[in-house]
Amino acid sequence: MFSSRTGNRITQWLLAAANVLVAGALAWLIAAYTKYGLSTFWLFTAAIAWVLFRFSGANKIATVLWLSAAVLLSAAFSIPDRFIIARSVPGLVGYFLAWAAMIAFLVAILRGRGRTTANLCACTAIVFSFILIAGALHTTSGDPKRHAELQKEIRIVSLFHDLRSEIEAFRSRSGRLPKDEAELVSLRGKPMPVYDGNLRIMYFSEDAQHYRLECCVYDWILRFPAPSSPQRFHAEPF
Amino acid sequence: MSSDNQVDRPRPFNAVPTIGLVLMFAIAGTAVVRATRPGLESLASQENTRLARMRLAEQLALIRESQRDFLIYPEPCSVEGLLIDEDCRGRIREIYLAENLSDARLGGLRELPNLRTIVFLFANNADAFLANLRRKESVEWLSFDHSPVSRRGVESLATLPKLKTLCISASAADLVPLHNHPTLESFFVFARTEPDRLIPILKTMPRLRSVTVQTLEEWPMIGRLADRLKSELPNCESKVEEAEHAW
Repeated sequence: MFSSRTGNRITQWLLAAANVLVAGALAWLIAAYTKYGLSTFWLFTAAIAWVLFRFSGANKIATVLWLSAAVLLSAAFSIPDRFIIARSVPGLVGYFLAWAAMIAFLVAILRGRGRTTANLCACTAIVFSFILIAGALHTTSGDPKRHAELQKEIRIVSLFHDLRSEIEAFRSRSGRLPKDEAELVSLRGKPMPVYDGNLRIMYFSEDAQHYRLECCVYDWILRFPAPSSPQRFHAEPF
Repeated sequence: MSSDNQVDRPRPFNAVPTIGLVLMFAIAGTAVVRATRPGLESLASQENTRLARMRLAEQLALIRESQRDFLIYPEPCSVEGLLIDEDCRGRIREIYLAENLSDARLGGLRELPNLRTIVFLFANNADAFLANLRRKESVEWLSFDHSPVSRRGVESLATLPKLKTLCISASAADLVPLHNHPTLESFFVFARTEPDRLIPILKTMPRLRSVTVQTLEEWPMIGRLADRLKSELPNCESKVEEAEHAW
């Protein structure tokens, strides 16, 4: 956190705003990208507000601004499906800009140079334009993260099937299974298929008759047993 | 000069208007968002449908070229398009289902004439889907993984007249509808509770040839269960495995 107790009033305001922005960004990232959700967000918000007020040179106004931002964000959190909460990077940036704009305008208003009502209206319009544009862009573009995840899973299942066909073809030709992954690679004449960056499907020979294919995705190990197993697919947590 | 100083002087902090601002932001934000939400959701739904159809089209192209005979994650909005594709619908033998299966449009998958295998992966509301699948003649193989099935779902799958292989996680009480199942040959079960209560049910299946029981029980319970399976199902290849996690 930035801190100054000796600069002039403008410097102190800038530093207070910087404190709020940094703390807000942290709280926002915690709330958006962790499983702990709204209660943790509020706890973090209250803690930062207290730190701002007590230690960081921020004045009461900056503290209240911080809390107002928290109220706004929590209103967005309360919406079912959280569709307004950005789940993509552009949406996240747009949301952050909206939030920073709100702080900046509130600072201008509370410094009090007249035309408060007009500033207030402009502030409201700009903030919610940002939020709605970010939300709309995110929402109307479908759910790109889910689309990517589904495509990855479809690819993994397809690769399992293709690889199993190759293994079964080898078994029917030679009457045995590849003894390990190295032999399978040499039989294929190419490396094991990859499905996500450098992550590859793995082959495990269990005994003369049984084998399984495996890969790791998210926090799961996906197993694709040999065709003789009644279990077609199995996922286990790490 | 004095008027300039007056203009530049910051206003003292006043809690009441600040709290008013906070409330205004919260109320206005909630109102605006609620007002615009239906429109945005409609647009999102259209876009998600487009993406689902795109995923389906990629798979159907491979099925049409006979490069594969399985379909992964058909979604409710794309089932209708799948069923009118005469080239593909007869070639699909296996489908993988995930997520929420309560949408009635998924019931259209029973129109796939050669569908033999259905794999449920992290699927919810499998019971609803199975209710639409009752008495489907072509289905021979069902495999559930992290996809809960209740007794109602088991009642539905027990009506499948050619079901030969079943892999499921259920309690013995929920498996009661499989009593006397005439065609089941291979049975793989994660027994959630009291695995030994399965044996009376398994004994009633005339064509059962292979049983694997996974359980969270430990030795010597596993050994005792394996011995019981061997002695009470002598014509059946049986195995008991210790599961690391429930599924």
